[in-house]
Amino acid sequence: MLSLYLERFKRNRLAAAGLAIIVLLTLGAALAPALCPQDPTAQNLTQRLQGPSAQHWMGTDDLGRDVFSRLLTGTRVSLSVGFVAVGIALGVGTCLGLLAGFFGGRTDTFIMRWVDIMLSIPTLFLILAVLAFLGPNIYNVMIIIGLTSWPGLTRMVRGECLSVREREYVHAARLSGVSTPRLLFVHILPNVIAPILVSATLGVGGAILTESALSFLGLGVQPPMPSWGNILTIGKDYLHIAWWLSVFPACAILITVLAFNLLGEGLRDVLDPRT
Amino acid sequence: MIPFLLRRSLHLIPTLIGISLISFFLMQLAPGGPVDQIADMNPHVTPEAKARIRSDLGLDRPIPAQYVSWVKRMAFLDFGTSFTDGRPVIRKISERLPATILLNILSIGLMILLALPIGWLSAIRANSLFDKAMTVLVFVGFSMPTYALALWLMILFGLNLGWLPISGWSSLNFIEVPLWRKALDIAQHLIMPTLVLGLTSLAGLSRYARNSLLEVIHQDYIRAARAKGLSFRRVYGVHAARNALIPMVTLVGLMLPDIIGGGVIIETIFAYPGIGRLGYEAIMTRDYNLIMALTVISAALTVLGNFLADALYAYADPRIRYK
Repeated sequence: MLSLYLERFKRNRLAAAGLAIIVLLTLGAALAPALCPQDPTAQNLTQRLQGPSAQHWMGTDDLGRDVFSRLLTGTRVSLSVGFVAVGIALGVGTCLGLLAGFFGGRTDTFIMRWVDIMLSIPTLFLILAVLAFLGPNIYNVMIIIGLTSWPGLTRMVRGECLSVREREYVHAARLSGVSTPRLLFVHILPNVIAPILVSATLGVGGAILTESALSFLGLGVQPPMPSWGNILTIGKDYLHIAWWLSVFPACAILITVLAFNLLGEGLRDVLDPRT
Repeated sequence: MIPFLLRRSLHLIPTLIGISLISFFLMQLAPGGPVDQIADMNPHVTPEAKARIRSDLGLDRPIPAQYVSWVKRMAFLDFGTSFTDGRPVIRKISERLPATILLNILSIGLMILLALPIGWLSAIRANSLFDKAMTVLVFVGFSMPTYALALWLMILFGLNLGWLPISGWSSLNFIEVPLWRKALDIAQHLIMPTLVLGLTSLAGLSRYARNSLLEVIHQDYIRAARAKGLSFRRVYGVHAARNALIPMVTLVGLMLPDIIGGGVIIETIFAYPGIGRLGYEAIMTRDYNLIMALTVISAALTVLGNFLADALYAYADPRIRYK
């Protein structure tokens, strides 16, 4: 089974490219302190707004800080926000979805009503408002993105769970006296894991995009901590004289999110025999 | 049709109640509540003055009582006054709403006009060069930070080429020009925001259209239609497209919150006078009444949009009505 998946995955070159980029970025993020050519927060006012050169590969910003070092350090921010936010959404979304699908009845109605409500509120606006009140910092950003992105997942897990719970092996397990939590997490969950994996991968891309937008609007990661979004905020003010301040961070976001989306789509093709 | 609509509209009630609960309790998150957030910046505000403001705003009453009176006033479209300029919130919102609705209709229109043909062609020629190129392009659009695309378009069309205005939705001489020039002026201001919103949200729809059409194409009735000699165009353009693309109506409905939320960024960047930018300003100035009203109104608009989408779907596909 696994070798079949691997074989299918290898044939999907876009998804493989996505995975390669993600591995590279993760390595870059993990080793960022060692790889940075310069201190990402060290200001050097005599070197303001220098274009890309041998010394500053991606130029310097309005305070003379090295853009490449800031971008590399920003990778840690983006990836950790992406993974933690999706982790939270996975936990909440999967549990609620399994509960709704397994128990049905009132539990189901109640949970699905909340899903409908959450899906009808413009998420970005909600996130911005909560951040404005709780104070913008990287931890609040992770938590709030996570707590607002579970509804789609819940809906999907519920749908899968509805069909799995009627299978014979589930009935057999129940008859042999398996406890409900064990039934849910050991017997049912592994059979709905494929679509969860796909939407988690796509979710990381979405969370990174949201984080960068929040930081761009000034309500995400706060300076001097570098994030791709807040480097772009500075770039916006110098668009006409310092292209490198907006082009490099925007490309970093684009490539990273694209990598997660391509991997997610590739996983869907590999894991879902229907398409 | 009527029973379906009635059943469906009964569903709206708990959803609307939930939305009002979330919007209301959102405000309870602020440490110290609205008064501290407004008054802390001013050293001259005494504790007594704070208590007076609190009781003026009804904030000294128990929270459930506050919620009930807020909902009651809301039923008459009374959302209170704005903290920044004292004007009625509903007035501020209704001034901005037309601009946002216009922008959203145009970008959703653009999205549908591009996504459906792309999805259709990609499915008809699945795995062709066109299909692959479109897949990559659509994904790039989907992964693009909208604000970066907006900034680059502004540089290109606004500054370098000088073809389009880069902010607002009317020029300075707006009041003195004749009607047709006014329309032209607004249209010019709308081009870039519409492009950005439409292009970055088209990925989901076009992928879905492609996959849905691919599924339909392999069904027996399509083969039968081809076998009895109907033209390629008629079979794929009418028979297959109808079944595959009608469900897209619901999908567009589900995309509404993202489009309205995305409007916050786009409207702010283009200084476009819609409710997205109003929302951003309200959040930045902690304008409680305005934030609560905007959350409720934009969510209610989404719910309404979804309801319309479902009604349209049920109208187009009778099977849905009897589920």
